[in-house]
Amino acid sequence: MAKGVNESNHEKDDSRHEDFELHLRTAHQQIQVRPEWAEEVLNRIAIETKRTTEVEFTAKATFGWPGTWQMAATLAAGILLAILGGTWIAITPGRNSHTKGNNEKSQAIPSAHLDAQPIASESPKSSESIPQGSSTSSLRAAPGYLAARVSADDPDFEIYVVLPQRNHH
Amino acid sequence: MHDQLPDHLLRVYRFAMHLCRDQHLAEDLAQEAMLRAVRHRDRISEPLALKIWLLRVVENLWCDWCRAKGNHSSGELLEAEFVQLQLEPLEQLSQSEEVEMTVSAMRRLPERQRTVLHLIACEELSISETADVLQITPEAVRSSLSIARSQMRKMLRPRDANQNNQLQREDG
Repeated sequence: MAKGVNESNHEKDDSRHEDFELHLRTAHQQIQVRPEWAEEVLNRIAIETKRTTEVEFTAKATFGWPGTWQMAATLAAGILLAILGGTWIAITPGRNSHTKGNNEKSQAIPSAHLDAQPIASESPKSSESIPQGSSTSSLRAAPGYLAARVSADDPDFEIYVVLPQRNHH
Repeated sequence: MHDQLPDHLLRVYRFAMHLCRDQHLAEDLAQEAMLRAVRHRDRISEPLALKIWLLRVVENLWCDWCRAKGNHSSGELLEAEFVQLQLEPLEQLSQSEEVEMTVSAMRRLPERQRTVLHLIACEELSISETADVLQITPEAVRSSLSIARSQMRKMLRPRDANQNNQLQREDG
């Protein structure tokens, strides 16, 4: 008998459980949206859909294959870096002093200038040794020209003045 | 997917209303969720996934709103708010006294249990779908659902006794 009562209560509990969930569903389904708000949201959805579709289409057309762009950008960056690096090595005056020493460097650049001067030599003795201050490097001017170093403070920068030698007749 | 979105508008709004119980805030939450669905539509492949995804976004937006306001976090209602909820009139729902009492009882539940019960009973989601929406484990959903149902039964049981007493008095 007692068992029967318990089962009955249990069934009643289950029944109540179903009832209250049904009631919750009923109440839930009575909630409605404002028609004006719904219309506004649907309009915004349509606008947003159109906008994002256009953006997506443009993006696909422009960057259809990202790997290509990535490789091209990497290659261009590598080439640019190589050019800039080479330029920097070529124009840095003190660059060679770390590897070859001041003597070699001091002779390399100015002598090229001097050798480029037109040679109107009158006598081989016009070639002179250029004083280099504390430096041990020396430079020989082309025949018919005089060369003198005018920068003495900075050993990394060497500026020479080259003048044609006067003729004394 | 754009064609399916209007079908979900009412569902999303109702869930937002369940969470915040404020018409304007629910509209904002629902609208934001719908627009996000448009923006991220490439991530959603199936209609069922869209339904779950939208509900999850609403839940996340609601949590963000609570944090931004410095209010209670989701699932931690204060005692004072319980009192307020109990006294809150059911303005928008014209329904029988029994339904009103059931809704009122559900509002006394902690938010996590309430939301689980709502998703199971009202949205008719499965345990795993509810877990997906709330981003918790199915075991946690089962636990919350079990406690919620138990609490609901307890809250609604005295009313049965009163009704029975009333019926007995009428019969007598």
